Amino acid sequence: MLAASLIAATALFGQCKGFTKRNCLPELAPYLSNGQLNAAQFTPGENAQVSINFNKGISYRLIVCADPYLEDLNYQLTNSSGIVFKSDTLQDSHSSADLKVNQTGPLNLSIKVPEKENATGIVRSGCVTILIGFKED
Amino acid sequence: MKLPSLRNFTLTLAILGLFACQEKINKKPVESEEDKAEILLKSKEKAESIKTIFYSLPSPSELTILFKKEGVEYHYDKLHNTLERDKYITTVKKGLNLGIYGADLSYAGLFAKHSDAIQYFSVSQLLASDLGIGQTFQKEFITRLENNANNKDTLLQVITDFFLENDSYLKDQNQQNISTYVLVGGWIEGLYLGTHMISEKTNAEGIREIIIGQLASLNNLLLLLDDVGKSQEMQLLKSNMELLRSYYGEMEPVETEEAKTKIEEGELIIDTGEELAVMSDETFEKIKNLVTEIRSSIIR
Repeated sequence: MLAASLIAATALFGQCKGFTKRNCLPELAPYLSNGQLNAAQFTPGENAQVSINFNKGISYRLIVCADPYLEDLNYQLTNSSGIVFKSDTLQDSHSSADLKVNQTGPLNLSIKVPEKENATGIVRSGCVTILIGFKED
Repeated sequence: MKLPSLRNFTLTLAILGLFACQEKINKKPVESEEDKAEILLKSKEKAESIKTIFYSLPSPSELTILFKKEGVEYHYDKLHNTLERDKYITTVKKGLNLGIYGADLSYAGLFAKHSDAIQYFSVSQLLASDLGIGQTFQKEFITRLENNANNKDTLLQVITDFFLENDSYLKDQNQQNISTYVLVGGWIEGLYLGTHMISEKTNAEGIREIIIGQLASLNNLLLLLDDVGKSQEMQLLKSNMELLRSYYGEMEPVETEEAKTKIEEGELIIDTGEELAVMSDETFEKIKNLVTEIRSSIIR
């Protein structure tokens, strides 16, 4: 059972890896990747969160990519008090933001995939990837 | 990688607890265990709705850029000796030292020390191979390096691509734990080099600010370390990292101001209003010494 779950999880990440290489990584240039690939399969109604430490003196590119099936995916970048600095809804398969901070510290990126009507009852998922690039300010 | 739901739920509780803890750090330097438990409890309802937690750490290259801007210099003798690679037997040691050598590689790359970078790239690649990280894509990196000798931008691109490919390969193989070892090793080496490559030209206050700014990354690393087994080796590392976290708790909070944003040349400029806490000389020295100690235990 565990082995089957691991194989399934590995296969799903593999799909997202391919999706990320095709659809998201090309958008990162000329920024350098932070070396981490955060990707997972999502179904409508699911959400995710990541805390990102932004350093003063560095320029960042934040990219959120999603399978077009996960339409209207929304993301928000907030501080610990919940103040929203950036919010966007994906119209296409990706959205990016170039940003800098005046104070070093963590910001919270939350992603929400809205519920979707499903007449067939078949649960379908799609990849969501978060990429962070940086360059000298 | 998306995690199984029960594990997610636990991680979610923990990470939200830490976010809440960070919020409290602005108000007082040290929280009691009771405070933490209360925060975790209050976060439970919110946590139940979050399905996936991702972790993000600055790459060693990012840290190097920051330290370099404050005037640190390149000293080859401070880097970890490449000849010691063969003595690492366990997966934990190999992973941690891949992170150490990777950070050294980033230093050499950012200071445009091409031959040193090739040397550290080679040792990183050998360790990656020892860990079973795919051979196929590794050859491509060597070719790119050889074809772009003395081009600093390409060198940096190859280095970051190498680490992205390693991370992606490990997650693909469901070996998130090794990815964590690499991240921890790289982060520790990044801080070690930044605090030991100091010269008369270095802006000491700038270095201190970079160190203060690493608290959130340390919190993320601690959460990742929660999930990588209970070996004696890892327990020791984790307890040292927790001690490091407790030193950060000695910082004095600073009043929060109003948050603002503006757009400049297409870039979003965020003024969070959350100034860095104040770190005393004594705390800075404690952190610097403990980072050195942790690094020594990793490369030993």
